[in-house]
Amino acid sequence: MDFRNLRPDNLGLDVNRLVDQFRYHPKSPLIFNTGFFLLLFLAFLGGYQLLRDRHRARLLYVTAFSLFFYYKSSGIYFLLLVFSTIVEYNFARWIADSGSPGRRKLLLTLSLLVNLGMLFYFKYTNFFLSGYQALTGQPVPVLHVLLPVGISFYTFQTLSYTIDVYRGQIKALRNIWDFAFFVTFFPQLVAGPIVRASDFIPQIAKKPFISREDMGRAVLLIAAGLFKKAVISDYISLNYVERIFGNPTLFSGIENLLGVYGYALQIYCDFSGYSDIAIGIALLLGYRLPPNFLSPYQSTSITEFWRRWHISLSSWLRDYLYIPLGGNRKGMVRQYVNLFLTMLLGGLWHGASLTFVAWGALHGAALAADKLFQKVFRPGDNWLTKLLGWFITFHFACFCWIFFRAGSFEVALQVIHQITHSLRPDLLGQVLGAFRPVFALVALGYLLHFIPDGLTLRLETALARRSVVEQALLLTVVIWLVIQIKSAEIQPFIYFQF
Amino acid sequence: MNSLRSQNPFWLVLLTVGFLGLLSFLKPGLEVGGVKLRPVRLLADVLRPNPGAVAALAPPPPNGPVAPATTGAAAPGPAPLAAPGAAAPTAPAPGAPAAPQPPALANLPGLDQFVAALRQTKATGRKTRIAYFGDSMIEGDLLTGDLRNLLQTQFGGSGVGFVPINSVSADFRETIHQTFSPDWYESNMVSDRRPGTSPLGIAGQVFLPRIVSNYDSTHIVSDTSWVEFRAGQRFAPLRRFAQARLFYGPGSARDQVLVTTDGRRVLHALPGTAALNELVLTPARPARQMRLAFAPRGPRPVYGVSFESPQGVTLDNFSFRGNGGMSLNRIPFEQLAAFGKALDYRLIILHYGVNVAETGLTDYRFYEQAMTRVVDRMQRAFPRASILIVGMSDKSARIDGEFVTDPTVPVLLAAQQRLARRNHVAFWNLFAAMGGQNSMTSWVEQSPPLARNDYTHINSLGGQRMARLLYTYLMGEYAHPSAAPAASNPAPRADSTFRAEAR
Repeated sequence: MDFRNLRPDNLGLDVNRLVDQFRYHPKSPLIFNTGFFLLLFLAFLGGYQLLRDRHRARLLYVTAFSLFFYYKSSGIYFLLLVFSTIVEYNFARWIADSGSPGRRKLLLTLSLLVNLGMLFYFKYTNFFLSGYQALTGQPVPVLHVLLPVGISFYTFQTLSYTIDVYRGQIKALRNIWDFAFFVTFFPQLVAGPIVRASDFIPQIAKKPFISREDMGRAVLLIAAGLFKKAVISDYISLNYVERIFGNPTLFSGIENLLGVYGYALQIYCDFSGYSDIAIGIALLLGYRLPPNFLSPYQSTSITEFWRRWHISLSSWLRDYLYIPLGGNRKGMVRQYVNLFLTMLLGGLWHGASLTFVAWGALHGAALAADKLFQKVFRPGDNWLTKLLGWFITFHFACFCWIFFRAGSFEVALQVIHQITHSLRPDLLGQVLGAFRPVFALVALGYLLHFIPDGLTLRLETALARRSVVEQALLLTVVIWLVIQIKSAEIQPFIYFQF
Repeated sequence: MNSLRSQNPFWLVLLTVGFLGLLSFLKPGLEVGGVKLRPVRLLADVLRPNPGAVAALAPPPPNGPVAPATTGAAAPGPAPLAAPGAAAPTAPAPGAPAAPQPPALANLPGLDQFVAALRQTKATGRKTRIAYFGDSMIEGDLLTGDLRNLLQTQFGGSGVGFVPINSVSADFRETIHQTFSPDWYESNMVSDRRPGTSPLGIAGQVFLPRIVSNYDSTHIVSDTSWVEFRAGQRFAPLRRFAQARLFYGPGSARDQVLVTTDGRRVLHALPGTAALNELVLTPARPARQMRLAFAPRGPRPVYGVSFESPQGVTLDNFSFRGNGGMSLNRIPFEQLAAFGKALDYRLIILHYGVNVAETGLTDYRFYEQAMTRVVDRMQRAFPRASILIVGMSDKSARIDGEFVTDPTVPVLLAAQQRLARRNHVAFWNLFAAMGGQNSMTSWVEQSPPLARNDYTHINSLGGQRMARLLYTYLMGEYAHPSAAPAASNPAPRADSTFRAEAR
């Protein structure tokens, strides 16, 4: 290699494009699986290590980076994050300082109004306006409200803080920078996990320490997360699943069915993969975030499914919605109603559409039915009931995903109609053959999903013993795979109606 | 193992970036086990675009006039797709985003016969019939439904045109709703490699109803093969059936069809013995629904039903999934010509490409050859029709993680354009009309999207947009001052004899 040629202009470095990378582009948010993030993160880590022993400066440094990270995703809306931080910090402080229960309640109500008001305005305005129009027949203008990225996540985080302070479960922070650090912490900012104040705030005061085990775990989480998100999910989504849900009637029932199984894997890989990367990155900075997914499709009942799927959300809903509604303390019927309501709102949390509400309602009803079933029948705990339970749970979850993904009831019903009315199982071989890479990845994805937790733990330990060079090599291999997949040819459109 | 010292993740990330940097020095185009490795370009976002990569994507085929200058190309008429104030067509600068272009070929005399017929329609109401052949791009009457509606609104006429007995897209076609019994035997030009016993019809399909054995002459048995049509409500001219023409092949003279129109049942004989016969059904009052139940005593090919009006514009949608266009050669010429005689087309549109284009393919001579035969057969089977080749739409490939125009698209487009020029038929550059280079990416990504996320197929909004573009182009040709006047239209032929005998 001739190093004399490595001048920026010879390398083709375009200063304008470089500067442009630091600006907000609505179509290209800063996400973890991009080359630019990797380089930026490297630079960020350099500064982070230098500031290791300077607590205040380090917190400010991370907060500034986090705000930049959010600006890259949402532009001017990063001010919303600043606003939310200032408001919630003060509400919590006033609640903590107030002796009068009435005043405390009033302050909490105001805080809820601000937080939920913000969420409702940005996320649900048009949903309710169009609902009003549908009910009354009066035309209402559609507002052009841009949804700030991650607003559902960070409003829930700040809510948990204020409520916990109100309940006396944690102390209010006395330094706004500490609180800003918690609210803006970039790894989980835009897509979760929803980190509880009680889990995170105690870590702020400590000097971050990264053990060898942490490092091994972080490398495994990031590598597996990248593989799930940017290899499996992105590939099967683009080359198969999106097409099916884009126009289900173009495809036979068997293709639709495979599309549903594919989507179940896709959403798991996409969501849990991104969560895993976030948890891994936080771990590299010395912060422990709670796990968000625990192989949910291994569940043998829908109740278990919700203990394994998007845990940070389901436990949030349990603690801040289900239990305040009365939980299971007000009799059986109320418990079922509470479960149903919680899931209904949980569905709505995912997006402003009736299909999400239906998805939540289905899960809510299933949770209640499961409770009743367990109570009445007390099924035995043998392999047969487990297998049956698993089969039903998995297929029920898949069925619900149809509504989650379809975007409209019309499309959802088309998918179901194709599966029930023109299944054409005879086409299975052809479909699998023509989309070999897609289904190889689907099979691999499900196979990895059923790896027992013990094995994962052993892998973590083994990785922790390896040198940093070997760990970096593992990451390199995965990133290289991601690059290969990202540039792979699109699978051609093929029909199997004949 | 020292667990007491905090690890430094900076080294982990630095090493990773370093390794990836080393990988980026790998020779581009490396293959391992037959799989081409993609280059690692970690700095792709901040580097100047690679000039080599840009050059690989040749600009679309030149849009200059190709027809002889005497046809009036030097004085182009309205150029509906050109930007306001655009000069005479010039080849776009390489790499520049393609602006909407004027018609690719000044299509005279390419569309003469069609334009003349359309003028006649405007003046006297005499029918102009169009056949639009295509693949899944026009399935479900996408594009063609909107185009038909634009033409019928402007020139009159009603009805959805020819509808085959059975179609995989029947479920989502909005311009006509169709159900059929599952017992039809179908043979078609794409999946059947060998010709069947009955010749394929103009749609590339032939259908045989189940032979009825326990035939009861007093009333038609209930378990016959049937097809039912319900008028689509999307466009006003299609909401009623004014006239239906059933097209069928030869068979036993005792065969019957029970036609139920809005609840009224009439039993018709199917007497025709020619290769192609016609039964004209004219309900007393325009109907919303029509059901045909067939009771054949032996094999009886049935092709489809055409819903139309005696005047104005009729546009037939002949979509066939997965067809690259070349399969049209499987329709026996005699049968094609028989349909030509019966339906008197004035414009044949051939819109293919997405099933032929294959990333990496740089030679489409096989396609040109096969399509030359298709065009030639069309010219002979429909002697009074103009022929228009619609160039393929944009289709994306993923290069360096980005969706860009598949490098094979311009190559296939050039082949299609050569095909048109060599056969003296009209050519319309849909790719350029869509916006040229990378337009599919913007069609998919705009809100609301105009195309599906396989970056190949349009959705109904995209169909509307394409129909509007094509309509604008056709109207540009129609308004062209030097186009053949209505008077030059040859006198209409006398009705073919077989039709009379079938009535």
